[in-house]
Amino acid sequence: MRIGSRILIVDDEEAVRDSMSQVLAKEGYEPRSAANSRDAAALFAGDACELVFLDLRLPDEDGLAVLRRMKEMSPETPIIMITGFASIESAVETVKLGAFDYLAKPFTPEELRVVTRKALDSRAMRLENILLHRELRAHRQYDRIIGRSKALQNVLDLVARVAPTDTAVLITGESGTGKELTAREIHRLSPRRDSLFVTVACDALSDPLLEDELLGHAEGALPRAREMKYGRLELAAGGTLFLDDASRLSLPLQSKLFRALQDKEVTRPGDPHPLHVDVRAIAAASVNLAQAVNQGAFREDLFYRLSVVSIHLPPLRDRKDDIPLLVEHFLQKYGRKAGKNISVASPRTMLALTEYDWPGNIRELENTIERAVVLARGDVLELEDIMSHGISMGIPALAWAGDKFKTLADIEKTYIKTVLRDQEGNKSRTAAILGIERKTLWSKIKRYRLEEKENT
Amino acid sequence: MTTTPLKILVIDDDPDFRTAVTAILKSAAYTVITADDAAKGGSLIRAEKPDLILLDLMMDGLFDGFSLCHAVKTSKDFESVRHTPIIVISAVKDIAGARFGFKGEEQGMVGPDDYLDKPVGPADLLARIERLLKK
Repeated sequence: MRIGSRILIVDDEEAVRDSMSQVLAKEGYEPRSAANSRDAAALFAGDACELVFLDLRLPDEDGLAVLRRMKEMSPETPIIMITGFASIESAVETVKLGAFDYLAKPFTPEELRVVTRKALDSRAMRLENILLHRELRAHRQYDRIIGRSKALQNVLDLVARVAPTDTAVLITGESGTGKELTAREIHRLSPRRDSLFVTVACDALSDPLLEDELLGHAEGALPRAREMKYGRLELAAGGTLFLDDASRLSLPLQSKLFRALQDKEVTRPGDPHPLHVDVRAIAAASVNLAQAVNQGAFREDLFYRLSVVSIHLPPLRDRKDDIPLLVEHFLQKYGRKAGKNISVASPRTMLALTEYDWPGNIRELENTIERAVVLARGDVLELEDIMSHGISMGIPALAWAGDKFKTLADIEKTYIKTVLRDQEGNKSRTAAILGIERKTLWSKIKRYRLEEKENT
Repeated sequence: MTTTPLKILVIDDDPDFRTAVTAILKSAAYTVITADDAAKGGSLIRAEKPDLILLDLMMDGLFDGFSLCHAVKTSKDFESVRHTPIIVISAVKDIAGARFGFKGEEQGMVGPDDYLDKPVGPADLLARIERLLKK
């Protein structure tokens, strides 16, 4: 049962209020009226009005201020300004401030009916759009995998081929290379896409808690928990179970997981009845699982069960061609979030971002851009935005090349190159910053062949 | 006009969705309260005793919509509000099976009273709410 739309009329002229109320009531609406801003505010706050007619001139307050306040409180409620002929121009202005329309006095009942219907229809349509266009969660957009490099294309090919099948997938790669994103992409492209993608962060919880998370428990099974709890395995039924950092699973849990995947059955501790669960397992590991099997830290049967297909994600330093695209993507993402219009990085910045080795991979790049966007002053991301705040491109990161330490000479070379580039090749300033003689700088430039590289 | 309006609690972390649903429900003369996560929703359920709950399952946090729905239906903490109808707003098609037996009493499982597993328009939403409130 839907009742008539409530319409608030705010006007200090009694005759106007009464005649409008009559017309609207006859149409089946529920009009209510206020003669001043104070009464209007009370009615507006207490009663969900679907439309407001608001006189531009009120005895106790400027109609514009009332308009602003109402728009703030309830942006989806359309407000139609009532105005005398003399102030049509300012009424036009109010539309810019969010008024739906204006009605110039004197107006006919027909004009009132038309504008009322138009406003209510538009409001209904907007609300309906929000409802209908809301992405229901299982389908909600996540970040997509970005990049055109050969290394990444190989990964994407494999993802596309393996996704429609129901096989288990093992995703390997350094931390921050996008293992979860890849797992989500496989889920999204799979026949299970309408069911859930359930993540288990194997390194986030200690063993008994992780087991409880994975298997759940029956009512009264644990001394602390009176109520039963669903395990993530059964939550993922019909969908995909993503085991992040699978190498962190303890051997007893590995064996329970293996049985659950093998028999498609899970038994909640304390519950005599096993449940049928059909999940597709995708596991991620940043260490070499095969090696863990050799060392006896990972069960061989589970390893083979999980690694039917394995996908290795290249570290970011092996797909540097993708850095500009990634930077652009993160600039847009975080620019929007911060309400800033930053969509490009200066060439100098981009060069520095591309040269850096990114031991923390895409996650480190993303964090760097996120912070830089927040701190940036202009529309273009500058080197200072990244460098001057002591974030990830500091010396310790320079010294670590992913899996091995660099030599001092390597660091010196990189550092000189960075400062030189920052000073646009000016040797005197560079030498001053580095605290060495110009002559010394020259010899180092020569030794490291920095000049030649600069020209290519 | 003398009856107290029925109260609906909307638990969802999407502010646009909360705004739209609030406006639609208010236009149908319901009182609306909202929460942006499951934990706050849980306290509002106990404090305000709504007549019906609209719940998004997939919110961030370990205590998500699943946990809340389950707690309302089974936990002693929510005993007095156990029979509050819950409509779930998430794409959970086809997963009724092991997770929420729809009304799977055979396994002692309980689930929400209705699912919106695809986007619905205002009229459909109001119709589903009315149907549950009449019971």
